[in-house]
Amino acid sequence: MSEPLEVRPVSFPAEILARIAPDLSIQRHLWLGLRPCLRSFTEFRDVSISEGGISRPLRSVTGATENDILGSNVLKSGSTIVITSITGGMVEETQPATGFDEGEQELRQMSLASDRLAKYGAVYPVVEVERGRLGAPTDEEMILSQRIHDNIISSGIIPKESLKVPVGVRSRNEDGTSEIFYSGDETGGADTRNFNLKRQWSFVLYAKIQVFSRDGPLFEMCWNSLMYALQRTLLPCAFVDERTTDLKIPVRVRGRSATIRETYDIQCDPTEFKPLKLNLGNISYGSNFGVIDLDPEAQVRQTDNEMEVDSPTSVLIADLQGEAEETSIKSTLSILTDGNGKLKHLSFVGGGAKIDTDAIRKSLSLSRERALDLKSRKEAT
Amino acid sequence: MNVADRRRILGPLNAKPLQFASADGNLQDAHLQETQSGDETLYIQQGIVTNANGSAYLEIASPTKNDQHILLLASVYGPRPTRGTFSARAALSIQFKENTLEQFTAGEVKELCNFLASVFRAVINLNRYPKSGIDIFLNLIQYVGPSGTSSLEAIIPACINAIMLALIDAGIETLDTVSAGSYKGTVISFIRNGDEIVGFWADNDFDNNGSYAVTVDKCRRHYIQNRNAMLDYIVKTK
Repeated sequence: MSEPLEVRPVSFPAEILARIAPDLSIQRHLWLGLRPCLRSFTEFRDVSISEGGISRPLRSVTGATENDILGSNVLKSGSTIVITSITGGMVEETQPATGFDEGEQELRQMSLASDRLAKYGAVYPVVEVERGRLGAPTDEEMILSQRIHDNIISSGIIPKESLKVPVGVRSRNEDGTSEIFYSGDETGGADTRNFNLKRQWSFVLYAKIQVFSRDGPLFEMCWNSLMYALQRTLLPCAFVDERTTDLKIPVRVRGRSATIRETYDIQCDPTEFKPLKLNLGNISYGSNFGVIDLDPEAQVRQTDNEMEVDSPTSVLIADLQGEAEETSIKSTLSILTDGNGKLKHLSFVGGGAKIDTDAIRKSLSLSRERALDLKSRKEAT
Repeated sequence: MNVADRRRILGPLNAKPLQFASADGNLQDAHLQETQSGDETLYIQQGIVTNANGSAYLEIASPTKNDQHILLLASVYGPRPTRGTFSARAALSIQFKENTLEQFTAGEVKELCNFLASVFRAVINLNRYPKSGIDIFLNLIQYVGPSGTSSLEAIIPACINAIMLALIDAGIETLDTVSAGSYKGTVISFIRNGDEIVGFWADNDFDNNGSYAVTVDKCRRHYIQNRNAMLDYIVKTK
C-alpha cells in the first residue's frame, strides 16, 4: 500500500520568483500593466549627468601635473554609473616626400570626395564593465567598444580638421622669459616667418568608459556618456621650440643610405586650451526598446468566468532594465537619433516577438523625445 | 609574433602620449606638507554597486586645501565558490585600479595590493569561509594629492576604510573594525582599539621623522578618528 501522493502548491515571494522564473515573473507584471522595475511600459529611467571635474583644462593649473584627461562625464541612470574620461595622444601626419605635388594633391582631393568616412576622426574607446572578475575583456565589452568606435566615425561627429594640432613656436626672449606664438595669433605681433613647419600633427582621442552596477543593455548609456564628454572636451595647444624649427640631423642607417630626420620635441601648452569642434548637428543620443509577446497563460484573473478581453498581444518596452527584462525580451531595437528626427543608427534584433511597424513607429517617436530631453540636460549643465 | 592587443581598440600605433610643458613654478614640494589628520571631511555611501555583494564609496576632501581629494569605490565579491582543490580557508584577492588618471606604476599598484591583502588576511575571519574566494576590487576614481602630486601613502588609509565598509556591507565576518592612520608618510593599521597593529607602511625617509613611538601615537589618534567616523555612519544608517 502506497501513501496517496499529495501535491501541494508552492508559492514564492516576488523577488524569489523573479530569480527562478524570470519569464513568468515578467509576464505576471506585464499583465498588471507594470514592469518588474515598476516603471510603465514606455517610461525611461531618469538620467543625471555631471562633468566630474577631473579634466585638466577645467581644473586649470592646480590640477595634477600628470593629468592628461581632456574631457570627462559621469552619467547615472538608475543604479548604473558610467564614468567616461577622454585622453589624447598625438600622431604625425604623413606628408608627401617631395614638396607640393599638384597631381597628387588633386588625386587626393578626388578620393576624399568619394570617401565620406575619411573626413571624420575617430575616438578609440575601451569599455570596462565591472563584474568582479579579472582577465581579458568580455565579449560584451569588445562589442560595445567596437560599436561605439564605428558609430563615432559613421555619424561624422568629429571632423578631421578639428583634430589638427595648432602648433606654435616658443621663442626665448633676451631676458630669459619665453613666449609662445601661434600662427593666426594677431596679438603677439610675431611675424609668421618662423612658421615654416612642414610637419603636421593630429590629435588621437581615447575614451575610457567604466561601468559600475551593470543592470541591462549598456550601449546607449555608454554612447550618451561619450557624447556628453566629447562636448566638454578641450584640446591643448602645442608648440615646438624655436631652435628646433629648422633642425636637421643627418642619420646614416646601416651605412647604406643617409636620410634626414628632423626631430621635434612637441609639447602641449599647460594653460592654452581650445574646445574640440564637433559637428553638433550630427550628435545623437541613444535609447533602446524591446518588444515582448504577452502570454495569455500568465494572466492573473480575478475570477474564472471573467471574459477574455481584447487586448494587445505584444507590448513595446522602453529602456530595458534588470535581469528579467534582459533575458526574456529577445526582440530589441536600438536607436541613435538627434532631437529633430535625424537617425544616426538603427538596429533591430528580432528574436521571438515580432517587431511590427507600429512598434517601430512608436519607438522612433519615443527615441526622438528622449533625445530632445537628453540634449536639454547637456545645456543645463 | 604580433603582440598587439586585438581585444581592445587601441588606435594608431605611432601615436605618442601628450606631453605637457611644466607650468611655471607654482608647484610646491608635497612631502614637506604634513597632512593634518582630522581636518578632512568624509562622505560614505554603502551598496552603490548593486551587482557586488558589498560595496562602499568614499569621498575624502580636505576643506583647508580644497584641491586635495580622494574618490574611491570598493566592491566585494564573495564569498563565492572556488574551483580546484579543497582549501580550509577562504582565498583573498585585492585588485586596485585607477579609473581615470593613471598616476601609479604597475609596481606601486602591486605593492599596494600586497600590503592591503596582508592587512585583510589578518582581519577577515577566513576560517569561516572554506572552499571560497573573496575578491575585493578597489577603484580609485579620482585622486588629487597635495599640490597636485600623487603619493601612495595618502590613499592607503582611505583604501583600508573603504574595504572595511564594503566588507561590512557584504556581511563578511571580520575580527574587528580595521582602520588606519597616517603621519608624515607612515601608515599604520590597527585593530582592537589601537592595541594591535596589523599593517605598517613606511616610505624611505622614516628615520627622519623622529621617534617611533611618536609616529605610532599620531597614527593611532588618526586611526581612532577614522574608525569612529565609520562606526558612527554604520550605527546611524543601520
